[in-house]
Amino acid sequence: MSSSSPKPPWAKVNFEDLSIVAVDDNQQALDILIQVISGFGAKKVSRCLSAEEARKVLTDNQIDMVVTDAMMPSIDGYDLTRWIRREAPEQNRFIPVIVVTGHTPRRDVVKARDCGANYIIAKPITPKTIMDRILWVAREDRMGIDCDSYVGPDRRFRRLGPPAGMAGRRSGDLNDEIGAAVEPNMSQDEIDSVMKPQKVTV
Amino acid sequence: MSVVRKFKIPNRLRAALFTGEGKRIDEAVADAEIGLASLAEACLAAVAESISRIEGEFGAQVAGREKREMMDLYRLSTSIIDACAPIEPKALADAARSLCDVLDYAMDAGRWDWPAVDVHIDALKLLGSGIALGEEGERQLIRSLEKLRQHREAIAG
Repeated sequence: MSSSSPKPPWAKVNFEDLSIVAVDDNQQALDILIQVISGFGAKKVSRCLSAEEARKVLTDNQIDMVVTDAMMPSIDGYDLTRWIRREAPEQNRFIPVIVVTGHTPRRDVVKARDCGANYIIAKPITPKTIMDRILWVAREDRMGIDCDSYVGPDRRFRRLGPPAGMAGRRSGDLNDEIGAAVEPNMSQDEIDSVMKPQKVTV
Repeated sequence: MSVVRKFKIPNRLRAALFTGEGKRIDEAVADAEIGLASLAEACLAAVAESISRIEGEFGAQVAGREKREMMDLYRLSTSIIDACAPIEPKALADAARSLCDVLDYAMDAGRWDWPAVDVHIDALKLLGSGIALGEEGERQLIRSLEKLRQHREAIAG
């Protein structure tokens, strides 16, 4: 099985040596997030109650992954991600960033995609959803893009939904023409279909 | 013209995660679920507090509630969604999310939609009361909130 193939449930994952930054201004939401990541076996989780704290950790340490809340005062999760992609030390600039958010209108999902996040997850979080997205990020071979308007993983996508081999495809997957309309909350499947990029010929 | 640089991102996460050691994926998820369940009591209390604050600050009986910030109610509503991870009923998070949709629309319109807010507050109180509605009851309640939202948005144009 190649490294990018889906992993069966009996495959092993080693979180012990991963350095993970978890960010949420809501103490309880942060407890929940860290409880889940620690349950996976992670031992090195930095808990940050603000994006400012996270920036400091990211400036001083080599980190393997960031999981951040979207809605925070002062610097939100999208701005933190933008900072990581443009201003963080080189070693951390293209680490996986997963954004979690309670409310997911399409414009916020698009915001997450356009700030350079790898995935956005709708709260309330479940261990399975978090694990799935971490495995997706670990498996994918997305190219990096760096230009004036965008720095981050290749975000181009088509109507393809989650990666091959994963459940969750919907017949009504989103179109790639995303406007700024105010729309109701998106389901996790809808979010995934926006956030999963696919290479296309340009 | 903007120059686009395209390059391969080294996947450090993959190398660290798939060493052949550690926990089985299904066991890791099960362990995380056990850990999450240990927070259930605290989360139930947090949800109860948020609902009580919503009613106390934005309920129909509160004088001058229209002067309050919609964003404050939005935050209280998302705090319910946050805390719902380890608790039942899951419809609580759906109702709170539906209230966020109402507020999102109201913020764009620049005016409160009190009938919709009041119905959502009642729904949150009912779901948070511990009264068992059953899966079908919860589904119907959430569907009704959705219909209400669509109706109000149609009226507002």
